[in-house]
Amino acid sequence: MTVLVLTLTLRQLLGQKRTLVLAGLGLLPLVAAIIFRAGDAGEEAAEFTAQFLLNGLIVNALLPLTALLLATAALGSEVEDGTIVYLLSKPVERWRIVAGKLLAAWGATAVIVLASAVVSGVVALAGEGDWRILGGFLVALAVGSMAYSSLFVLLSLVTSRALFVGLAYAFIWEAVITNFAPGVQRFSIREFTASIAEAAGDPSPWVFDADLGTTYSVILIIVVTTAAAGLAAWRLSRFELGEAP
Amino acid sequence: MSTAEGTAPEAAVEVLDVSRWYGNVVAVNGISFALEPGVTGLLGPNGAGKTTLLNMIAGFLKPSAGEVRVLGETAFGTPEIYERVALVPEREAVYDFLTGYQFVRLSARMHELPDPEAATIEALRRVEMTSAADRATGGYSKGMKQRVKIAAALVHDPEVLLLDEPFNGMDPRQRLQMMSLLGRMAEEGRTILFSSHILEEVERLGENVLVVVAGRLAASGDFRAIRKLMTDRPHTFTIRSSDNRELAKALMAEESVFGVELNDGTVVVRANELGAFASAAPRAAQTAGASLFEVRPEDESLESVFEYLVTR
Repeated sequence: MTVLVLTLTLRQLLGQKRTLVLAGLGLLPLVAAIIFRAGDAGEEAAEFTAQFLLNGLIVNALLPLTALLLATAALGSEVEDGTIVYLLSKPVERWRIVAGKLLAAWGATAVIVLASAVVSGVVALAGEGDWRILGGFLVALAVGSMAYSSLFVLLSLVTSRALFVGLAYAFIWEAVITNFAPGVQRFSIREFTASIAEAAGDPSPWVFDADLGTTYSVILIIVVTTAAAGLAAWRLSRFELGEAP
Repeated sequence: MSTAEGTAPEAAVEVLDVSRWYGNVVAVNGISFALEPGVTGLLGPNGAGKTTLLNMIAGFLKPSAGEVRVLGETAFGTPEIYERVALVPEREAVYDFLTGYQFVRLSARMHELPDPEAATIEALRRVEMTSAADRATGGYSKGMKQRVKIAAALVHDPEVLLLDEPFNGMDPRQRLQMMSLLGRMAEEGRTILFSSHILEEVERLGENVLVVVAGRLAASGDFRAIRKLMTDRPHTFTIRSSDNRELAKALMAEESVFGVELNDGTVVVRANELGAFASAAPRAAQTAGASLFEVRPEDESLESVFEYLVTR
């Protein structure tokens, strides 16, 4: 059942303009990498790739934006246009529907951000740097995609303004407020992702140094992902359809 | 169909003093009825609360008060009921990228039918959509979408079928065909409830009718009795004739007339019954020696008919 919902949702996402736009945005890090290589890159390739390309552009911007747009399209758009009724009117446990939607949103997000990271990372690092940092970020991006997708699928079930709330979370809470109130970093998926990238890639501290501890980040990212997915399944089981007068 | 007092325990659908409100707005207000196998029409003007009521019966909305039971189960929060219940929603949206066949097969697969392909072909045949089954639903007309939605709802052979404005967008031939399909399904012992704001649709299909106006159950029971109530209500007519004063006098002598008013160039008549007045008007004109130029019924909108049913 979950596989049916997953394939249906992937087909839905593939047909949407926002997926194409996101795939296009995924090329921006490649453009940055080409410009970097065109200049006198020298020994700074690893720092540039880790700090600016993978963490700055992809973890901080492309990842949350892609996850937000795809996760809200996966479930929120069905709620909006009313097609969700064709899933809800079936004798299927609600968690299976959420699982299918979540896996589709995660899969599509991961494909875009991982492809973007691989292509731009290879160009930036070719012949210059340590490949382990790229490997570390690929692991972190796969995990981070899951956490963001879970959170944003839940958002699309609790508010009709999921896009707005998600943007505020990713680009105000995580991007701005964490700079002024460092304690807030402990509640930021982007910080968890960066920490996992550091642990998995094991770079030198001057190449990349995350702010949070690895164990804490791994535990928190598992908690956020499972709690959001569980809440989304619960929310869908109590979900009410119908037009308010 | 029966009212709540006479609810038989085997009723397929039981609506028990159900209300639903959104903030301060009451969409459905203290409605009770029970449905047994057969076709029942849910009639009411737009915005009367029909969709809210159907969504509560389908288990998609929780009543703010009261209870909805379908096949013995509480409707809301019980996905198992969909093994035996189906809803055809009013909204047109389907998965535009799927073909008709894929859309119905998706429904069959989600019901985990033993042979989803065969069930899909049969459901498409029943709604006469076999020839268009391989086209994407995004290119379908409104009527075709409606039929493919009905096929997807029929695919698992439900005992209870709920349809929200099912004839919207269908041409007259498709409408008749769909009506006879629903009629046959009712004869097979299924419970079918469909909503409509069009009197004639309900008249053709539903022997039983529930009339909902402004969230309340205005009338329920045999359609013929309700139709009679509707036609027997007081009617107002505006008449233009060659001699209004004499005509007014003659009309006052008619038993079916209980009010006459002479206005500027017209006579406004209030009559008890439509049928009786239809023969009284020419008779009075003959008595008065007046020629009738125009007899115009006033306020014959469906809304005013419903309004009468609520306030009578």
